[in-house]
Amino acid sequence: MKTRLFFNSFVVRASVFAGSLGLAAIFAFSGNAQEQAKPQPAPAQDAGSGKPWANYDIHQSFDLGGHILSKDGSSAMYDTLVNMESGPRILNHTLQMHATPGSRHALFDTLFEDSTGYGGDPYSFSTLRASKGKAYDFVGTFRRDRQFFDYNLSGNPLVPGGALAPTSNGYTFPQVLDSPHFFNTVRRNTDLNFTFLPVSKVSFRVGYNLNIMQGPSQSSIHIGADALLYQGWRNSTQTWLGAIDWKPIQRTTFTYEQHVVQYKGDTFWRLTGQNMQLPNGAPVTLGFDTVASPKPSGATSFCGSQPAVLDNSTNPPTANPCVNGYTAYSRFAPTRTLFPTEEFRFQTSAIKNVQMTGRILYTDATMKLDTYRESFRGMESRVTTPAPDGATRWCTTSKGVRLDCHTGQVVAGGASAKRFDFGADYGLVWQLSPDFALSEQFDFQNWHQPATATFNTIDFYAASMISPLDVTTGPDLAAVYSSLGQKMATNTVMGEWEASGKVQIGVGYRFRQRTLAKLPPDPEDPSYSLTIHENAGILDAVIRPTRDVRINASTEIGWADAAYVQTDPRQFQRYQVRATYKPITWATVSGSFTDREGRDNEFLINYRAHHRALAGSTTLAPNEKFSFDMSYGYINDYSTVVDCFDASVPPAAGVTAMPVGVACGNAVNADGVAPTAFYGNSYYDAPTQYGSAALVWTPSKLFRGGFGYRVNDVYGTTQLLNPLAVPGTLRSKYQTPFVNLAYTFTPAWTAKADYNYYSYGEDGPSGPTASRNFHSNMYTLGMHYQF
Amino acid sequence: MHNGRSDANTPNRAVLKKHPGLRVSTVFLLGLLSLGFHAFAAPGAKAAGKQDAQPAASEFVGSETCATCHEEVTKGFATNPHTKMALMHGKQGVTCENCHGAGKAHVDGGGDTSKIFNPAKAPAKEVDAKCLSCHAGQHANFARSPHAKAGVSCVSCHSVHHTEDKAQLLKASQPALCFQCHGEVKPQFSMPFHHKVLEGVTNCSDCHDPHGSFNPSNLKTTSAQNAICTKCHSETAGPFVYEHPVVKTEGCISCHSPHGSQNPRLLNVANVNTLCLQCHSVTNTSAFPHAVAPTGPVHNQSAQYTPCTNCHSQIHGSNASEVFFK
Repeated sequence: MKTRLFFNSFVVRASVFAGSLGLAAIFAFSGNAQEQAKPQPAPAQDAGSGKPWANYDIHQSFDLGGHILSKDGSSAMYDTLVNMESGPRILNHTLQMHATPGSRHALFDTLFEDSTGYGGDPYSFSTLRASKGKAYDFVGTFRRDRQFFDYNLSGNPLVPGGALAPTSNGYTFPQVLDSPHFFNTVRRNTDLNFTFLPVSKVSFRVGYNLNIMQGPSQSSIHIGADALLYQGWRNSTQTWLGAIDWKPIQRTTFTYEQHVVQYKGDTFWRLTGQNMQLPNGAPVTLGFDTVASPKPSGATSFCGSQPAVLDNSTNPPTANPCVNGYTAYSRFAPTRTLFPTEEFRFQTSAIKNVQMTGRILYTDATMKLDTYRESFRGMESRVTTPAPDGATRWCTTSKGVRLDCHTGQVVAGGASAKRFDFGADYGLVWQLSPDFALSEQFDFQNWHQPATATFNTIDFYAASMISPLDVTTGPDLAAVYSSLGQKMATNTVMGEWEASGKVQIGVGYRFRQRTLAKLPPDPEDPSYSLTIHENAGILDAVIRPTRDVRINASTEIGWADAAYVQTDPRQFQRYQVRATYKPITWATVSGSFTDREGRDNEFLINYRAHHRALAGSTTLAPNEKFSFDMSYGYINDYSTVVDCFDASVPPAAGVTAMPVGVACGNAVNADGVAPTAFYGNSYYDAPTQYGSAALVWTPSKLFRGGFGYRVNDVYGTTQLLNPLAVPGTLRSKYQTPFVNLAYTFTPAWTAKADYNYYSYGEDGPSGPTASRNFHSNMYTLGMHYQF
Repeated sequence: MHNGRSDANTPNRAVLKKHPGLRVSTVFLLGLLSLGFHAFAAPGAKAAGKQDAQPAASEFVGSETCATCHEEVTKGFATNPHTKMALMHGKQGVTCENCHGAGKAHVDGGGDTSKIFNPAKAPAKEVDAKCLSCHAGQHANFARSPHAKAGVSCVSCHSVHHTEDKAQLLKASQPALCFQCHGEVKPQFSMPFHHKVLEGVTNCSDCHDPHGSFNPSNLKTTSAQNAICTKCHSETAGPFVYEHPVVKTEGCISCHSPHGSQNPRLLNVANVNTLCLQCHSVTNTSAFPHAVAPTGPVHNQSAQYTPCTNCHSQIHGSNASEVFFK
């Protein structure tokens, strides 16, 4: 049965566009054009001096140089946090071109370009701006960012070493020294925006954005054992924008925007980490997370009762073909998603004492995955599906019941999903009197996502990974349908009262209603919907006792009558205070405090969380020769909520056994038996201190020197379920002192030297993996030339 | 295909059957229409937008006159985007006096500062009104924004005549400008794992609109009405066949701290299993009837300590696995 859609997409799109045209037409024919007093003609401006060329004044500068790096300790952690290497660099280049007064040019009057970090730095950026009078404005940016991530505790199964190391037949399973989910990807983001006729009554905008993310990374898959996968990241998003801005009368703008976003996901996965061989020489992996000595194959299996590693003397070691493992795996899921969005906006302050704005948007997105392909070869010996003969069970070699095991699978098929998203927002500020203003904002969003998937699966069974295929089943066709949606309406009303020239107070109220609905893909699971109502009171204050002092304070206290997940607060509070004091023109002292609190006091939930941040800074710049700034910050992130889990060996602290018969998933304690189901507290506390100081000294126009220091220090605690887990970065100190010098030989030439020291250290053991501490010295030498 | 279940009984239809979205938009447009007629329909009404009386043409002295005393300001003005004002009104537009007001009284008074508008000394609301008289179309939400309500005026961040960042006429470049008030955010960008704002790869304005938006914390959204995170992290946008619902309903911050975190992948807590178990625990079924706890032998936390995401690797959503294995 074809699903009836809430929105007929064509009807809604047409309505949005037609409504916007109609409304704009009504304003156009009913408004009175404003006559402005005729001003004096504008004078010719002095464009400033530069290198003249082709009726342009040109300024250009180059910073060429390079880095010299020395480091010791963890290269992986250094590359994760810093990732700057030795080598020559184009440190910076700028170009400015301005048309000389009275000259006429076809392409542009003004052009500006700025580029930084090319030649090998992990981050590079370029900006290009051009404009020509009232014809057009152009802004383009390009950003490239290499994301290297190898924090080796992330995704690490923490394979024990020493006496606890898992072994089999003399082979010691290796510890995982790098992150199994490491990244070495590059993101390139290009953003281009044209505005045509920017100061005209009707102006046009076109834009294009290209975001590409690609590069090698790793992932993992679970089919019996857990295998490491090479994940070739390759996805891109293109965004096109076309827009019209119409100013029919002064202080009123109507805008229509058409956006189209296209996503292409071509990331692929294939098996890696085959560090053993089968008896027939085929490469194989038994998984990367062998944390305990593996069980032997069953006595009645094809291999008989044999250890997981048959022979440790071969190179590579020879694995038992009857235990869980992988000889091959690949997955391709080319995904294409299109998000067309229509948006109509208006803004007006043409009505006396009223400022209004509003918009409506509609998105009708389509995801298509037409050719999903997945292939697995190996062994999954935990399957206990009855065999077609009904009498035997397949593939329980560890229990020695049956020989045949799941040794392969091919999956092919496709999926599609839609996302219908309607949004409407309206905002108004009404200055009721010189001292009192009322603001109102209403927001509405309604989205839902129906989706379908159809996959064909063929399964292969054999006695072992080196045995000929015994049985093939399938193709089995599985089709699913799922849906998720949410409708949310929020209304915020505020009254702002200027009690005096020094005090302003705001009082407000926010109401939100949110309804979410889910239709799970498994027909055995029930569908559900949930409605949540939130209420919050808001209080703001701005205090300016003198011209030099400003204090802002705001608070929001609210509650919700339901929560979707345990970490959604039913009671929430936000407090914020900022203060700035400028005792003299060259000194500024500022401070801020933020506190976000969340609670859910339901029985056996007891959710408590807060984010508290306190910061202060001082900036002194008494003259051109000297400036100093210093800042301090303290942040505390804290959360706790009751959790429950299955653990045959309970963690050391913070857990209690669940009552007999009370289930947590399939973990249930039985009477008279040692408990395996526990309550924990998900405790997390991370108090962090941050400090920085910097001094710049410029004794003359020829010399400038600066030095400074930054430190980030945290000593946190958290619930650790794995006895081998360590806090890692949760107890660490990261320090980065720096020095920079510049000497100007001539007005065109300046020599520069920078020194940066990076030091990262953890307060505690490194865990069953490599140490992450490092120190490095980075020297950057460069020459600046400008003309 | 939906396994034989009737569409009429699906919760989406139950929730949406009254078409509230269409009703909202219709009421919205009608309200707008009526307000427009009220504002403009009355004959002989005061010209729209005429908040204050416009000075007579004779009150303007021209930018050349301003330059005689304020040479240091006008000297570099040719490169300022505001020179476009001269091209308006049939190339009869003014520049200096468009913002500072007609200058004759100021000149006749020998430079009387009380006779000219100085944004550096004027109240925040007056400054905002002056700038928004041209820029309101681009910054329609500013009046309701936290910045405006806190008395942070346009000239708190922008300077037409003395700028470090000439692109947006900012007094200082991002993020140093933002840190002058939002100092409590700066330490987060120095944590081991952070969005590279200090390195210059990301700007505060990539995610936040300092001029205000319809979203909390002045957040932007993507063109497709998704969370702004998906502009770069587009692989998490979906839509997926198998959604991790909280990603769409609660948002990315239910698991991540976007400014910076002590924890890898900007997670809210240090341990992946602890993060997952915060929600995937069935401790109070009456309060959370939809909570799902792990089942199966591999979820014995001490039998196999593997992080949850080693198996559930496609945790933001999957088109091929209900449990996000692939």
